Amino acid sequence: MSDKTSSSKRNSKEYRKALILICFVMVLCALSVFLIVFRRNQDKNSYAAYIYSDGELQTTIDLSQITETQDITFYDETGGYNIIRVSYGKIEVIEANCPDKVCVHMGAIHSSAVPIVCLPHKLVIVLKENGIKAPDTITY
Amino acid sequence: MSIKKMTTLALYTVIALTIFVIESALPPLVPIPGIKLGLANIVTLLLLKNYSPGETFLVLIMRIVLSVFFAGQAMSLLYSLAGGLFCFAAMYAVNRFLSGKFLFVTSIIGALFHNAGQLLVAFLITSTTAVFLYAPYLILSGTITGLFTGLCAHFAQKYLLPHMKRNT
Repeated sequence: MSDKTSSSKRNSKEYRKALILICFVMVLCALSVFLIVFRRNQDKNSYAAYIYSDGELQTTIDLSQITETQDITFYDETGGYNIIRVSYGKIEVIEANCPDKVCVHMGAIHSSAVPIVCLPHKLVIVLKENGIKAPDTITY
Repeated sequence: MSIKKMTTLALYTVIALTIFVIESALPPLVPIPGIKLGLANIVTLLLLKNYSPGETFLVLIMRIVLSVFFAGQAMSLLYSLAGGLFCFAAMYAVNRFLSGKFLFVTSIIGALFHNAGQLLVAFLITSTTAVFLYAPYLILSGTITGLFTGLCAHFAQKYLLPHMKRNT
């Protein structure tokens, strides 16, 4: 008896309609998971380094395009120098002749969270994200 | 509208409002804004199943307008109204389509449309297409929270409503 009622429920019109809707929702979910994963992969290491000396933009380096590690040396007017090492997705100052060596001790940066600053030589390295950026909590 | 009906609907509005206020006092589950359980939707679902669409609509609008006074800023009225209206329209259509069965499916579709309405308002206010980057996250969360509130409504329908009907 209970078998019969459950089978009639299973064959009812509403059951099939509900199934269609559930399938629709599941397709939407799968699509959104795909989109999230796709965007995650795209965003990875997609940063560009902006190097400023004395407040002026010197060069920009797209860190996602770097395939081999390379060293660049920057000089200021007073003879100070910073050797910057650029690798895939990260940037660091490996050597400098400034007195405190804050920039060297800072190590490599991978994100736009904290910039590298060498105050004695007025050198600033900032990472900025490539492409469109999602709105943050405040704008929402 | 009879006094009895009016009182019953007012009672439902109070239930929905209470659920809404308590829920907004809870800390958010995930750090993404716009994601919450939407438990007040349980009342909307139950009304949609047991009462007429017009009465449901009345309770929904009353709940949204009053909730702004209790727990929100004036800005959130726009979001709530858009979300609520989209949600109601979708749930009404789905409920008719399924002739009142499978409440949780109705709830999921309602939650998705609620999120869609809010995204649309966010887009109209900020006029940046970047808000649509939230859509995948909102679809996923809407499905989960919609399923949850839908099941709540299903069990309320099964175990609570018979008692309420008997006493009114």
